[in-house]
Amino acid sequence: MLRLYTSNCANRIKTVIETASRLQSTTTTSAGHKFQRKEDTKDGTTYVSMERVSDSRGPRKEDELCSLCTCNVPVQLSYKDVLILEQFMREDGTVLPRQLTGLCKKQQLRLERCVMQAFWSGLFGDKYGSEADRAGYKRFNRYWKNDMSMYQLETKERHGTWFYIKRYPTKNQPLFKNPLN
Amino acid sequence: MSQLWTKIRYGVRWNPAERLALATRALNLQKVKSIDISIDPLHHDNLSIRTFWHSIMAPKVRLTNPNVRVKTEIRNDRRAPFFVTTLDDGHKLHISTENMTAMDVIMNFNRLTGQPELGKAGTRPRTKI
Repeated sequence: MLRLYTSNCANRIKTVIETASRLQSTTTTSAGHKFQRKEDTKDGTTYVSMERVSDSRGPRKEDELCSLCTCNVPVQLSYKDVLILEQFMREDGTVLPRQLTGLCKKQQLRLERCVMQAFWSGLFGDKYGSEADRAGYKRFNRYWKNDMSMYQLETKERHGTWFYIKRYPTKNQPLFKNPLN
Repeated sequence: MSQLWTKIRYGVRWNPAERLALATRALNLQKVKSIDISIDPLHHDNLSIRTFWHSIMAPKVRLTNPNVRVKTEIRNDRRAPFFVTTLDDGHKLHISTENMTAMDVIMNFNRLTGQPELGKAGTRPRTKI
């Protein structure tokens, strides 16, 4: 059934879709718990129907980890892992929804951040179109330490100036609130 | 945040209801000659074909080709529902809608009658008001 929704993304995300249908399935049946479109043409008639398919892994269990959490070695996804990122992306450079990637919330958001960083660091090149906002200083490639570091802004210290020292507004205000002072 | 982030987040949405709405809006009967629907009303899985039936009888869809003949057979044999579409060139589409959602039915129908599955515009971000 899920093949329908993503018919333009062919085989590359086949495993992803498999995971997705495992996520969605609730019943445990031996005959199979997923559906796939079956289409065949016989003497001028096209027959379309849904066919039960079984998955050797069975439906998803409660305590099962997502495919990025489950690594034996603790690997953190970064924007440099372009080949991993591409497995979770569409042809137009957007990320697939969590229902299709089968990731947990945390990893999904991390993946999206990494994809954005990969665009900005120029690692995808022109593969997905070049309209990713590149105006002004953004025309240069940028690089980060990890996926969150683009949000962690720092004050840049310039020696010899006092500008970055926080100043309280002192105009028309008594310096101290207590009138006794 | 940025345009790119908006685009990425937009792709991440999973909204089957919206896809159903878009597919329904994209319905077009130009290449269809007749549709024969066959339902058992007591079958457990006939909601999707009823939704399909309802949406092809909408005035806006009927106006795309007033000559389409829609014939319905109500059965009493507890078999799965299906419909047969005859196209202008004599080709037939036999779609059995068991285990399909209404979205699947309509998207399949659109695809096999040569229309874009989700309409020409497809899913797109809402315009800002």
